[in-house]
Amino acid sequence: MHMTAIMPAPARDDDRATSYVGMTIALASWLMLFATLFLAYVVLRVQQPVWPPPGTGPLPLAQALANTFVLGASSFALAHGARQQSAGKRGALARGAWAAIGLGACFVALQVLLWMRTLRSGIVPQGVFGSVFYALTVLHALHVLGGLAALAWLAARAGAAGGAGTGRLPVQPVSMYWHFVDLVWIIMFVAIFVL
Amino acid sequence: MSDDHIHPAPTTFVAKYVFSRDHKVIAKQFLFFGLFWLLVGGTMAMFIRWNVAHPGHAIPLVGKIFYPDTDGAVPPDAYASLFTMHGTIMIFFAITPILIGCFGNFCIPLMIGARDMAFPTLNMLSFWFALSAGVVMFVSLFVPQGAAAGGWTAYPTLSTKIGQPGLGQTFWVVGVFLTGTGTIMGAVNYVTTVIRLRAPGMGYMDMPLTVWGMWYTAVLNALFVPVLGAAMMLLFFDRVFGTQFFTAGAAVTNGGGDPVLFQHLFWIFGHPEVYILILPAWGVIGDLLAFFARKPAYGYKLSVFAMGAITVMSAVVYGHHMFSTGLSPLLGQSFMLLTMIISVPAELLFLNWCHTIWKGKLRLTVPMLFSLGVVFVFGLGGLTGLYLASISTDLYLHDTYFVVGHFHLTMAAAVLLGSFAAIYYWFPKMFGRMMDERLGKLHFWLSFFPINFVFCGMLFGGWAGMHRRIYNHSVYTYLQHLEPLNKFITVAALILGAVQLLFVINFFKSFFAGAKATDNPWEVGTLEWSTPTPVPHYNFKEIPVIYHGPHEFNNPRQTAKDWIGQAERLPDDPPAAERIARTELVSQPAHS
Amino acid sequence: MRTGRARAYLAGVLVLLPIIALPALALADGTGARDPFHWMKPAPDISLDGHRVDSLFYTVTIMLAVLFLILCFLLFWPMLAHRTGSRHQVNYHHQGGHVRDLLIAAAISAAIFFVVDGTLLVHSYYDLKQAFWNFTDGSEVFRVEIMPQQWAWNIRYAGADGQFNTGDDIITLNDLHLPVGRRVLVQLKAKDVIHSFFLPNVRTKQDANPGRVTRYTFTPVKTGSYEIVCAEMCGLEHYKMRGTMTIEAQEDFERWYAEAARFAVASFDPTDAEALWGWEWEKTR
Ligand code: HEA
Ligand code: HEA
Ligand code: CUA
Ligand SMILES: [Cu+2]
Repeated sequence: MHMTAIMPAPARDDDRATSYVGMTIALASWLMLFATLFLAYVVLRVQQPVWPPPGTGPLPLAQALANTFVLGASSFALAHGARQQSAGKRGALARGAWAAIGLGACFVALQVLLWMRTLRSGIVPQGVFGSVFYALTVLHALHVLGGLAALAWLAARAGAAGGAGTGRLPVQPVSMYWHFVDLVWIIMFVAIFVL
Repeated sequence: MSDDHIHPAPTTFVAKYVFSRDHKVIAKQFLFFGLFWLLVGGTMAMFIRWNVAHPGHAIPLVGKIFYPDTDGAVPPDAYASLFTMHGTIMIFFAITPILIGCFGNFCIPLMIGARDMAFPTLNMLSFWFALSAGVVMFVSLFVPQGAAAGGWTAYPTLSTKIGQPGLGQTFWVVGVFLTGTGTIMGAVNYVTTVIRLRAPGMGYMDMPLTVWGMWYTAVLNALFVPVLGAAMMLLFFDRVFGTQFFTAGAAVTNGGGDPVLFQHLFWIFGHPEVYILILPAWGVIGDLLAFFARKPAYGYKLSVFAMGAITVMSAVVYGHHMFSTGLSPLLGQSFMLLTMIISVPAELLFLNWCHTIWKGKLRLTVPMLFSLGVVFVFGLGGLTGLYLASISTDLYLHDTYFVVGHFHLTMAAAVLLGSFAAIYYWFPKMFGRMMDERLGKLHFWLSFFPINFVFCGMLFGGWAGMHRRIYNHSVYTYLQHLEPLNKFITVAALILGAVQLLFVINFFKSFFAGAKATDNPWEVGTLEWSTPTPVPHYNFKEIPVIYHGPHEFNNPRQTAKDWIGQAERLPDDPPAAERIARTELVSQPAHS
Repeated sequence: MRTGRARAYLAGVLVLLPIIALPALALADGTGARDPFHWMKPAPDISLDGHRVDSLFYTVTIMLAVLFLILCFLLFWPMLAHRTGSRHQVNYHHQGGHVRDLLIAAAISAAIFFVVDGTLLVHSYYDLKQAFWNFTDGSEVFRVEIMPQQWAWNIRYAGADGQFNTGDDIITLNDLHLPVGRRVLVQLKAKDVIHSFFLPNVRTKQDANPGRVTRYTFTPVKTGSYEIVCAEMCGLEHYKMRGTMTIEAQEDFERWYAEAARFAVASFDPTDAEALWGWEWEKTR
C-alpha cells in the first residue's frame, strides 16, 4: 500500500491505548450484564422465606471451590506468561496462554461434572433455586468458552510470531477479558455456593 | 494491515458494499435497513389506526392481501401482534439504525477528524448483528400462531409460555437480543472513537453537539442494553428450558419467580432507552439551529452539561413506569421526585435553543424547519411527561392513550422529525447530491400538522380514559363518545402516512438525479464539510488541526464570510503546535 | 418576503389552535348535551377523591399551556422576524457563557420547577397519603377480594361469617356490588397473567400480579352502574375484559348481599379445590 499524498493519522485501530479503552468499555457492558443477573438473583432470593427452598439439596461446595482454584490458576498462568514475555522471555506468552487454555478447559469440564452431580441430586432447572443456579453458571460458562476461543487465537498468533514480536498482539484486552471472567466466577462462587 | 495508518480502499464489490469496514458505507447500510423497517412499522401504524377507527372492518385496498381469512379485517390476535411489532420495529429497527446506526457512524469520525471508527471490524459486525436480528424479526411475522403479541414491553407472565405459547414470541426475544448485541458493539466503538481519535487540537468542548449527543447515547447503550440482554436471556430460558424466573400464578407448580422483577429489569433499560433515542436528536438539532441561525449555539457548555446530567439521571428514574404495580410508597415518591428533577436540564436545553435562534439570521432550509419542528413537538411531548411523572395523575393516565400520545410526541414526532432533519442535512455529503428543497418543505409542512393532530388527539382520548392496546374501544359504554375523535385521528394519521410518499419520492429522485452537491452547500464550519464530496475512503487527506469551535458564525474576526471552519487557521490564531499540545494527552497514541 | 410572512403567520395560528384548546377544556367542566367538549369528556367522577386528579390535571394544564405559549412565541417570532435579510446585526457575543447568563437560566428553571413540578409533587404527595394509597382499615371499611384471570374478574365477599376464604363466601363473576358512601378496600391478585384493575369513574388503577397481593381503595359516593376496565395488556380478549360495578344505597345493597349469601352457601362445593382461592388480609402499614 503506497499513498504518499495522504498523511498518517495520529492513531489507529490496533494501537494499544485504543484497544485498552475499548476493552474497558466492553467490560463495563459485561459487568452490567452480570450485575443484572445478580440483581435478579438477589430479588428472587429475598422473597423466599428460606434459602435454599426446602427440598433442594445443598450444592457441592468443595467441588465448586476446586473449580474456583482451577480458573484462578488459569488467570494466573496467563498473567505470568504475559509478564515474563514483556520482561524479555521469548515464548513465555504462548506457553502462558496454552496453560491458561488447558486450565480453562479443565474448568468447563469440571463445571459439566458439577452440573451432572447437581442434576443427580435432584436440583433441576425449575423453581427459583434451580433457575438461578443453572442460568447463572451456564451463562458464565458460555463466557468462559468465548474466552477460550480468544485465548486460542492469541496463543496461535503468539506461537506464529516465533516467540518474539508479540508487541502488536492484543494481549492486554484478551487478558482483561479473561481476568474479568475469572472475577465474575469468584463472585458467583461466593454468592451462590457460599452465602 | 499495513503500517501507513490508512486502511487500503477495498476494491471488490463485496468488500466495498457488503462486508465493508468503512464507517461511511456501514452508515448507508444502516440507513437503508432503517428506512425499510420504518416503512414496515409505518404501514403497521396505518393498520392500527384503521382498526382503532373501524374495528373489525376490512382494510380498504390492501386488507385482503394481509388478512385473507377474515376478508381483509384485522382480527383481534393480529391486532395485538400489530402494535407489539410496530413498537418493537420502530424503536429497535427503525429509529435506532437510522439515528444511531447511520448518523452515529457517518458523523462521529467525520466530525472529529478521524479516518474511521476505532474498531472497523467490530463496526461491520455491529451491522451484521442488526441485520440478522432483522431477519429473525421478519421471519417471526410469518410463523404459525403469529408474531409476538405481548406488547413491546413483553411483560411476563403474558410473554412466557403461559400467555404466548407460540414461536413468535421466542423469535422476538432472540431478535431483540441480537439487535441489542449489535447496538452494544456500535456503542463500544463510538465511545472509544470519541475518546481516542479526535483530531489534534480538538478538545471535548470543541466537538459539535451532534457528537456529544451520539457519545452520551453510546454510553447509555453500552451500560443499559446489557440489562435488556440479561432480561431477554432469562426470559428465553423461561420459555425454552422451563426455568421460572418470571412465572407465577395458578399455572405454576414448584414455587415460581416474580413477574414484577422483569418489569424492573425492563425499565432499568427502558427508561435510558428513551433518552438513547432523544439524545442524538437533541445533539443534531442543537447544531442545526445554530448552523441555520448563523449564530454560535447559545450556552454550548450548559447544553453539554444538561445532556450529561440527563444521561446520568436517566438511570435513576425508571420506576415512573411502574407506579401502578404496587411499589412501596417511599420508592414511588422517590421516583416521582427524581423524574421531576430530570425535567430541569431539559428546560435548560429549551432555553438554549430559544436563545440560539433569537436574533439570528434564520435560513429556513428544510433541515432547519425540521429542527424547529422538533423543538415544538418535543415541548409538547416533554411537558405531557410531567402529568405522568406525578403519581396521582399517572394512576389515572397510566396505560391510556395519554401515555401513547406522550411517547409518540417525544419519539414518533420529535425523534422522527429529528431523523428527517439529519437525513435532509447530511444527504448531500453522503450521496453527493442535494435533496429537493420544495418537496422537502412540502414534506415538512404537510407532516407537521397531521403529526400534531394525531398525537395531541391521543392525549385527549387518554384523558377521556381510553386505555391502550385495545382492539375495539366501542366495547365500553364510557368510550362510545370517542368515536369521532378516533376517526379524526385516523384520518390525520392516514394523511401523515400518505405524505411520507413525498419523502420517498424526494429521496429516490435526489439519489439518482438530484443537483450535484458542492463540498459545503450549507456553509458550515464543522469538519465533515471540509472534505470533498463524495468523501474519499480515507476521509481526510491530512488529519486537520482544530482551531475553532463548531459554531463560529458571524465572528467579527472573520469578515470575508459569515462562518469559520474548525480547521481554518486565521492569521491571529495560535500556532498549530500549541493547539496540538492542548490535546496531546488524549489523542496521541501510545505506540509500542 | 411578504408572502413568506403571511404563510408563517397562518402556520403559527393553525399550529396554536389545538394548544389553545387545552386551557379552554380546563375551563369547560360542565356536562350537558350542548357541551362543546363532549367529544373528549372523561367518565363522570363518582368517588370521594377523584376530583383530586381532575383539579390537579386542570391546574397543571393551565400552567403548562402558559409555558408552552411562551415557548411558541420564542420559536415563531424568530421565524418571522429574524430571517435572512432582516436588518439587525447578529451578535456573535450572545453565547451565554457569562455567570449572569447562567444565573438567569438557573432562576428561570428553578421558578418553573418550583411552580409546576412543585404543584405536582405536593398535591401528589397528599393525594396518595390521604386517598389513593391510604390503606388504613377499620371496622367501617368494606372489603372485597378480586382475582382477575384471562379474561374475567372473580370477585369474593366475606359472606355471612365475615371471614374470607370460607365456604360461605359470596363469589361473583364480573359483577361488583358496593354500598354507597362506605370506603372500600380491595385486595387483588391475578390468576394467570398481569391485569390492571381500572375504574375510570374513580380516576385510579392498580395492577393485579400473579403471585403477590396488591391493594386498591376508594369511596364511591354516587349510586349507579359503572364499568370495570382491565388496563394491562393480558392477551387476546384484553380489550373486552369488562366488568360492571353497581353502587347501591345501603338498603338495596344489603338486600342483594343477603340474597347472594344464601345462594353462595347453597352452591359451595367443598370438593372443588379451586373454590377457595381467597387469601389472607394483610396488616395495614
Ligand atoms: C424519546 C423518548 C422520550 C422522552 C424524551 C421522554 C421524556 C419524559 N418522559 Fe416519557 N415515555 C416514553 C418516551 C420518552 N419520554 C415512552 C416510550 C414511554 C412509554 C413506554 C410504554 O409504556 O410503552 C414513556 C412513558 C413515560 C412515563 C410512564 C407513564 C406510564 O406508563 O404511566 C412517565 C412518567 O413519569 C414519563 C415521563 C417523562 C418525563 C418526565 C420526561 C422528561 O424527560 C421530559 C422533559 C421535558 C420537558 C419538561 C419539556 C421541556 C421544557 C419546556 C418545554 C419548558 C420550556 C419553557 C420555556 C423555556 C419558557 N414518560
Ligand atoms: C419511534 C417509535 C415510533 C414511531 C415512529 C411510531 C409511529 C406511529 N405510531 Fe406508534 N408506537 C410506538 C412507537 C412508535 N410509533 C410504540 C413503542 C408503541 C407501543 C406498542 C405497545 O403498546 O406495545 C406504539 C403504539 C402505537 C399505537 C397504539 C396501539 C395500541 O395501544 O392499541 C398507535 C395508535 O394509533 C400508534 C400509531 C402510530 C402512528 C400513526 C405513527 C406514525 O407516525 C407513523 C408514520 C410513519 C410512516 C407512515 C412511515 C413512512 C415511511 C418512511 C418515511 C420510509 C421511507 C422509505 C424509504 C425512503 C425507502 N402507535
Ligand atoms: Cu386483563 Cu387486560
Ligand atoms: Cu421513562
